Parts: sequence; structure tokens; C-alpha cells
Amino acid sequence: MKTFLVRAFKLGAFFLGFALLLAFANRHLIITDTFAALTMHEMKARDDIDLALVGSSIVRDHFNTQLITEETGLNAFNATVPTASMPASIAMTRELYRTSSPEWTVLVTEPYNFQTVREATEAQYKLMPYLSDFSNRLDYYLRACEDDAYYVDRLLMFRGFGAASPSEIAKTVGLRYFPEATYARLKETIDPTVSYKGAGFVRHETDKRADEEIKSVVRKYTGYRYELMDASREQLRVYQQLCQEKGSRLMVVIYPNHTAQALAEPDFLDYNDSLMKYCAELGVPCFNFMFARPELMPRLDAYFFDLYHMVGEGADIFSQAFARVLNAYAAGEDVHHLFYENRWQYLDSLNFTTNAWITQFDPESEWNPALEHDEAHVRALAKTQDVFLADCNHYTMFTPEYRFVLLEPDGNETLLQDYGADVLYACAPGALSGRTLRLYARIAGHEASGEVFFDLAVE
Amino acid sequence: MSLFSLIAFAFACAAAYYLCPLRVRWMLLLAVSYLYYAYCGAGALPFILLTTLSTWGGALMIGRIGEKQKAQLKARKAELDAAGKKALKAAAKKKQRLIFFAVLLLNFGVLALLKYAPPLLASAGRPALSLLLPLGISFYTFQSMGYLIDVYSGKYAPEKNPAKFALFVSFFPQLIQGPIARHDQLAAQLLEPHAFDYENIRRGAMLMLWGFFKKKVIADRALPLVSEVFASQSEYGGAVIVIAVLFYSLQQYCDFSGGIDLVTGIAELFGIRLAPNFKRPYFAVSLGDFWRRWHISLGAWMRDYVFYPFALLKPVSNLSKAAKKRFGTDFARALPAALGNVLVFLLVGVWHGASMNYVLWGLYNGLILAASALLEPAYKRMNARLGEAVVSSRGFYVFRVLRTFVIVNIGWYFDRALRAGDAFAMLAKTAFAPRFAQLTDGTLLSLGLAASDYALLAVSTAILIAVSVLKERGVKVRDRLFALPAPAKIVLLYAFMFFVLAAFVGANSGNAGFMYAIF
Repeated sequence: MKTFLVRAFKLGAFFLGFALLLAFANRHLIITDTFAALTMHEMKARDDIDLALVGSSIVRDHFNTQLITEETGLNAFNATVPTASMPASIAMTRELYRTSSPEWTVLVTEPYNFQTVREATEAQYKLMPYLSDFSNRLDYYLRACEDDAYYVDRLLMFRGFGAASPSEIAKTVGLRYFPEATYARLKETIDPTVSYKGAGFVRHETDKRADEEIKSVVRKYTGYRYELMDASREQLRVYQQLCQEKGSRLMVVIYPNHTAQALAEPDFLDYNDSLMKYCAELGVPCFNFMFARPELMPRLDAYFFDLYHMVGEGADIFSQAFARVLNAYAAGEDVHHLFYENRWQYLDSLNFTTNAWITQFDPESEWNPALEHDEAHVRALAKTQDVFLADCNHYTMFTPEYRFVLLEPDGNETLLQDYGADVLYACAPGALSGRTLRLYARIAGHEASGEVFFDLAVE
Repeated sequence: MSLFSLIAFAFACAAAYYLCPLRVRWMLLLAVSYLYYAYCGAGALPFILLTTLSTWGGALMIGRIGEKQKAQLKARKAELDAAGKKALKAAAKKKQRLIFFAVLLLNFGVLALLKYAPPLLASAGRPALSLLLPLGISFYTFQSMGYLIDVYSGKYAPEKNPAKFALFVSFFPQLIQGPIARHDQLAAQLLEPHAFDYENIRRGAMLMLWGFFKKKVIADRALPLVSEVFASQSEYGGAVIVIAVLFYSLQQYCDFSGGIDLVTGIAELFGIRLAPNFKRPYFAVSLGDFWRRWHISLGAWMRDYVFYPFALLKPVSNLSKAAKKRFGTDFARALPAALGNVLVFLLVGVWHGASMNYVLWGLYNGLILAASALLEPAYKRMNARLGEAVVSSRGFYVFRVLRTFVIVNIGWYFDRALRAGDAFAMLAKTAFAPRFAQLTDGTLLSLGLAASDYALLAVSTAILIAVSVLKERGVKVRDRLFALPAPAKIVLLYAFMFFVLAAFVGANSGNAGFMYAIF
């Protein structure tokens, strides 16, 4: 028996030692997200957070915490992890609740991080090593593994997210133990247009805009219904319970995406409706800033520097609007007049097009049901001619019109077909080969709302 | 079941095994084996049950007929003359033969149907049957038929208890890809109630770790390159093809032998010693030596149940006698072995799959072995002329190892190619169109492996070769490791375990099963 116990002890000590080695690797030999590390460090050090804004990078970049604090009188903090889904939001909120007891907890969602049961593995290495409680870490790990069952890969983070160089290890160690000094040192090497402003807010000051990226947002026929998943419902219930246990008032905010996203995938609005309906069932206030009326907030499309993120100026406008809604709601005022009542009212306000595109019809390809063209007519034309189909993102109650021009190498335009009812341009086979075809699009009867263009280099 | 799940399952079963009362331990093994099999696919259960029950029942009937015949001989000893005894024996043998062939036909028939009907129908342009090959069906069929043959030939008595026999057929570590065990070597071990022994656990766990390393760190990492080049061979020159074949050598060996190490380690957790299935085959000095080191249990099965019975057939014996007159004693003596090798490797080739490349692979090996057997006297004379000093020198040994390696690798062209035509095309390109530029123009980084993958494979292969060299020199690596001072042992083990955990190919990079599990 004695021998057995000694051996068992030795074996236990051996594996404990190895577990410590793995824990060390998971903590120090992985890459680190600079802003997530700074956010976690500051959050742990603070016990005065009154307003917790929880979510992914859309919260980090768009809730100007300083401005919101000034406007609401509540100490606001962005508790965020880039690419985070609900498991990370739950874990992050638990971490925040360890030291602070916020009066409000605002969960900010968008379909891409809420309407999924999958936690991005990238979110994990940014968050898990910084969670203080073992139980919270374990809970987060199990939730993250629930869908993909990557138990081993997610447990051994140093495998997938191992630091590739000594400088990356130095960064990880530095941000963990000397975050301010390390950030000061790193500032010289990172993109100067991005900076951590404190309280979890990261400001982008760039001249870049998403004009080109938006051109890739085209109408798709996915056949997918954005009904809330059971897992999403369950996670929201868990989140509500978490807030209730802490005595924090929960609010759900749906973040406004670029209008092109809503027009390209109008079914996407179903998701917003479902979430709002479910929040109402749970008794949780939910505001969809996609439906914000102009008197609350102007349209923010011009501030996007990529498909999802806005520059600081856009963040300020949005934060102002959010603070106004929060103040009014907290004071017991009715804020519903600040939002369109439903998707139809919202869509009626979209009397413009965000972007257009041309498809050179290939008779061999399968017909795309998302195209607003007469298939038989197009196929008949394509037997003898090259056919170019015009399309744009627009609300279906409005009629778009198109103009086709030939763009010369010197930038001059030669009109091929002026604005009218025709939604395609047909020409002799090969007539446009090697040339650039430009399409202009606008909404008929709403010319003042502007036009957009798209260039196609014809092969 | 993933490899991690299998490992966790094995340790859980081992814990349950040692907590069980001694007399029911074998029953627990049977229960967990069936549980494992059902988990891997409940649809495969009827097949293993069919094999188990038909073999058990057939062997029992064969045994009973034999016993009855003996009893009759004993009872009627006085009244029967020699002719009468012979007739009685012949009648019994006839019945036994009938049962024997019926069971043999049933089991190999099912195996052949499941294995060959879908590809043959597909190649004939008929609608393909969607028959899924049950996990490890080849292995348990071969194992069961080996038992049946042994009982039929009177090597041992049949097992009376169907549950005990079921355990012999279904012992879960073996189900995946063997090794093919013999009843007289394994059954008693399975039924014996093993007491807990720390050494078994320690040694078993080490072997499992080594198998995991070979499978998940080396084989699965090399797999993308092999798959890509063999699937799109027309895009690559001979130089890249040679690399792919070498990677296949490594991948196939590590996949199969790694899996065997893993299952042998699992069996050791229960105090059960499985027969070795690999003995560092790439150190072989001849093709015959290679096949005595590679998939040893299948080789032994073929030797005992196909090669010897064939070589001892009367027509073969007559042919040998006829050859003696014409070609001399040496040739006549080697002829049955040569023909036997061709037959055995043809069968092994067909066992690999119903396509021409496998047939050619089998013939290639069989014909070289046949030629080796027939030319053995010439080799002996050549060696004598070279002298003992040269023949036993290190340089000659290395030459023979490399020569064998090349011969084996040429065979792998046929084994791994998707079609026989591909194999010939690849061989032609290896000889005449190497396209060396593909070695430096970035092609190697477009084959599914990044530079870091090549580096990891280089380090891992170096570890594998170092350990193999030690073993080849007779060093018992596990014993040597356990005998090290504690700090050195811990550092070595931690370093290796950390390396394995850091470098294994995970689930999110594709989850490759064992190659031979589908045979």
C-alpha cells in the first residue's frame, strides 16, 4: 500500500508539473492582442464602472466611453474582445463583475457575433489567459467548445496561437506585467491611426473609407432565415440571469451596420426583429440603432473605414445618440419615437442605392435567383450577344435606373445607354473585350439622393 | 472516435478493469469492446456478430465431430478393421471439411462482397452500392479464420464459451487495425484476470505516447503533401514525385506502426501483450527481410495459412520434382517458395483493393521475392567471391539497406497511385522528367505544407530515426529511459510530451483516421 501511495504521489506530481508547464505556455508563449490586454488590465484595476458596454470590436471602436461618461454621468467602460461571441461576452462580464457593480450592463450585438453558437478561436487567446477565476475560465472554455468540440485545440492555446518570435513573447510578457510601459514602447511600431483612449475605447483616425469594400457587398440569395437560434436564446437567458444576480440593469443594443449590408441581405432584418421580440419576452429593453431616425442620429455610412468599423468621428456621433437614448430611458421617458417602428418604415427611408455592380452573363452558368432580371429574355439575348446585367443594392419598393458608359483610358466617358428602364446592356460578341464598362445607378424619382458607379474590366 | 477519445476511453476502461472483481474482468473487456464497436458504428455490429457466431459455431461443430469420431473409434475398436477405421475417419473429415469451407466461404464472402462489390460495380458503370466497410473487418475476419483453420487442423480444441470467443474476436484495441492475433497466444491472456501493475500502466502509457507521436505528429502532418501529389501527379515532375513517395514511406509507416504502438500500449494497460507487428522495416537488408518486419502478423498469417499449405500441395510438389530434373536441385527446392510468394503477394495486393495498381504492387513484390528465392545460390556465390570481410562490413550493410529501401519505394508508386497508369507515369517522370526547378520555385510550399511543417517533420523524423537506430542496436529504449536519474527522466519526458502536444495535427486541421482501419 505504501509503495502504491508513493507511486501515485510521484505520478500526480509528475502530471501536476506538466500541467504547470502547459499553463505557463498558454499564458506566456502565445501572441497577444494589444488592446484586449490593455482593456483587461484596466478593467481589473477599476472598481467604479457604472456602465458596462459589452461586446466585440464594434463596441471597442464605437462607444466613446469618455464622451458617454460626460453625457450620462456614469463611468462607462467597454468590456470587449475582438471577434467575441456570446461565450466571451459572458466571461468578460463575469470578470468585470468581480471588481465593479455597474448600474447598467449594455450587451451590444450584431448578427455576426450573436446569431452563432460558435466562438471564434481567435477570441479565446485574447481573453482566456486574462480571466481571473478558474471557474470562469472553465465555464468559458466549455461554452466555447460546445459547438465545435475542439477541446484539445482550445485547451492548448499555445499550439494555434503560439508566439512565433522572441519579440512576440516579449510583447505578451510585457503587456501582462507592465502594460502601460509596454504600450508606450509598442506605440512607435503600431499603426499610428489607432490608439487606446482608456476605459476600453479604441479610436481610429484615418482618412480611409470603405467605398471600395462596399462594392463587394452584393445581393445574395442565401435562403437563410435569420430566426434566432435556440442557443442564442439560451445564452441571452444566461446573460440576463448573470446581470440579475449582480443587480445590474440589462439593456440590449443592436449595432447599426452599413446600410449596404441591410439592402444586400434584407432578411438580415428578420434577425433584429426576432431579437427585439425575444428581448420583449424576457422583459429586457432592446434598441435597434439600425432603425434610428435622423432626429436621433444621421446615417453613418460615410464614416465606415471597412465593412464593420467606423472612424472616431462616426463613433462620436453614435455615442452621442446612445447616451441620449440611455439618459432618456433611465429617466423613464418614452424613447420609441427616436426609432422607426418597424423594418418597413426603415426601408421606406432608404430612397437611395449604396452600390451597384455588373455581371457579364455566362449562358453556361446556373441562373442566380437573386438577379432582378427576366431569365428567358436574358438567355435569348445571350445566344447572339454579350449581355451585361446591371444591379444595385436598393429597397425593392424603389425602382433603380442605370446608365452604361464606356470608360476610356484617359478617364473620358462615352455614353452607351442612358438612364432608362433597361437593366441590361447587350452588344456584339467581343465588342467590349479589353475595355472598361462603367455603370451608374440611382433610384428613379429620387435623383437628388445621388448616384453610384461600378467599373467592370471586360475580358 | 477521435484518438484523444480512444485514449481517454482506454484509461477509463483500465480503471474500471482493475476496480472490477477478478473473475468478471474478462466480461468487462468484452462489454467495453462491444461498446466501443457500437460507438464507432452500430451498423457494423451484425457483421462482427456474424463472424463471431459462425466461426465459434463452426469450430465447435468441427471439434465435436472430431471428438465423436474418436469416441466411435474407441467404442468400436474391436469390430473395425483398418479399412473401417479409415472410412470412419474419412466420413468425419468430410463433414468437418464441409463445415470448414462453409464458414470460410461465408466470412471471406462477406468480406469480399463489402470490399469489392462497390468498386467493381462502379467500374462497370453500374450504380454503386453504398456499403460501408465495417471497422477492422479484415483484421477480425483474418483472426477468426486463422482460429478456424487451427481448429480444423487439430492444432487446438475449440472454445466452448461463445462469450469468451467473442472477446478474442472483438478485443477493442485490436479492432482498429490489428495486429492479427493467434488464439493460442491471445485468448488465455484476455481471460486471465490481470492484477494491477504500475509497470504495465507506465510502459503502456509510454508506448501510447510514442504511437501518438508517430501518427499525429508525423503521419498526419505529411499526409497533405502525399494526397496532393498523388491526386494531381500530372502537375509535378519526377523530383517532387520522389519527395511525395518518400513522404508516403514515412506517412504510411508512422500511420500504421503508430497505430499499432498505440493499441499495443492500450493492451499493456490491461497487462495484455500483443504480438509485435513492426520491427523497423526500413532497416531491412532485403525485400524478404522487409516483409518479415512490416505487418508481421499478416505476413505470419499468410505464411501459415496460404504459403505453406500451397507449397505443400501435391501439384506444386510434382512441379518441383519435374523442375529438379531440368534445372537442378537448388532451383527445384526454391520453386515452391517462389510460386508461394507470388501467390501470397497477389492475394495481399488484392486485399489492399480491387484495382489494377494493387494487383501490380502485389505482383511486383511477389516476383522480386520469387526471383530472390530462385537466385539465392547465385547470391551466395557472389557473396563468397566478395569475401566475408566485405559482406559483413558496415558499408555493405548500408548498401543493402538502401537498395531494399529503393525497391520498397518503387513498390509504393503502385500502392499509393490512384490508378495503375498514374504509377507508370510517375515512374517515367522520376526517371526521365525530374523538373528540378519545382524544388526551388515555391512548388514545395504549395503542396499543403508550410515551411514550419517541413521543419517540424524534419525534427520529428530525426527523433524517430534516432530511436529506431537505438532499438535496432538492441537498446530497450523504454527500459533505458525509466532507468535514467529522475531529473533527466523528467526533463526528457516533459520535453517530448510538450513537443508532441505542440506539434500534433489537431482536429481543426482535419482529422485523419488510421489508413488501415478501412481495410
